[in-house]
Amino acid sequence: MEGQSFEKQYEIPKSETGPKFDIESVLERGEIETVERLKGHSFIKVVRIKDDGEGLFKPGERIETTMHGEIDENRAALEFLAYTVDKILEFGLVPTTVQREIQAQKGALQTFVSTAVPATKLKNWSERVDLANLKQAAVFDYLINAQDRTTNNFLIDDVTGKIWLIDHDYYMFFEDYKFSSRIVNEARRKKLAALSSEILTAVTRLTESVDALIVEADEGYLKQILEGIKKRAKILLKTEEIPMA
Amino acid sequence: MILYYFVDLYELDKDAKQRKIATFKMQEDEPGRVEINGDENHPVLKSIEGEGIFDYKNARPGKLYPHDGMNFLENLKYYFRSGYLLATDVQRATINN
Repeated sequence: MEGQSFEKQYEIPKSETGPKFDIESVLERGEIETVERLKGHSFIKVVRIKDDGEGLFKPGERIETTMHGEIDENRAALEFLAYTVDKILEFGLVPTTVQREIQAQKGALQTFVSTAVPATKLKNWSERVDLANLKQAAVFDYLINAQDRTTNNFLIDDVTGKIWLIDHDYYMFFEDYKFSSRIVNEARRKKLAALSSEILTAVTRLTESVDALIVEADEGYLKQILEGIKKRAKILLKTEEIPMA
Repeated sequence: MILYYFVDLYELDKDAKQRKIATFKMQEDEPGRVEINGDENHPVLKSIEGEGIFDYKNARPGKLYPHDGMNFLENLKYYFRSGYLLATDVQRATINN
């Protein structure tokens, strides 16, 4: 159904006003001007919304070829799960993401961030990021156990130093590559592992919400991810720092 | 006729318009040499040559570089999959001698 939100699935409370709500509304209900499939292996479409910029659309169910053979990946659900976790934490790291049906295909529509570029494009990216934001991103990646946070999977606004986390798909959540997260590694290197009271409050808020998310998740793999997040959130609250690998 | 394999790599600009930044090309009779056609100063290309890419297909530790030939080509689509940077599958073409 056009504009239906995954939030029905997760029952995330949200304020009636404010920038996030407005962006979600635009993505869910904005008038679509054009839709264009990008050239490349991953199935991604650029969706232009009248007077409101662009979004990147990734379809829901899709057969993906991995090292384990073909898997039925619901990338949209994974992308939205990451957005939901970030929203509860109130870190603002994952671009606004909604579920929408476009050209008879259900999927995740995520704000296109025009003000930032993949970290791969920046020389010495770690010297350009806001350190408080880097710490938040490291906490997020620790919580989701990010397996593939390469410099292609996060964006940096070179003016403000803000980080945007993208590409929350099968490879990020499930493949046991041990590629880990460049962000977590960099936070540790910069001795940013100790958590502030604000971050501990955010993680506490997540632990208070995660059981409801687990109950409401309609797929086993989503429950599995959320159980992992719950476990690692408890570790953060106990140790008050990002543990060493 | 010479058979060759290639992968195109695209980026999105600030207007979400896609632009090709490189073609990675390998001739069948030179399996250990991937030629990169693109702006050699482009930061993404410099990163690939300097830092390499992961081996997603075989889930092996270590990095892959252009001199790894087909294995390198086959992993580009997994490494660049965000849309902001996006690689194609390995494609085949022929050229006349």
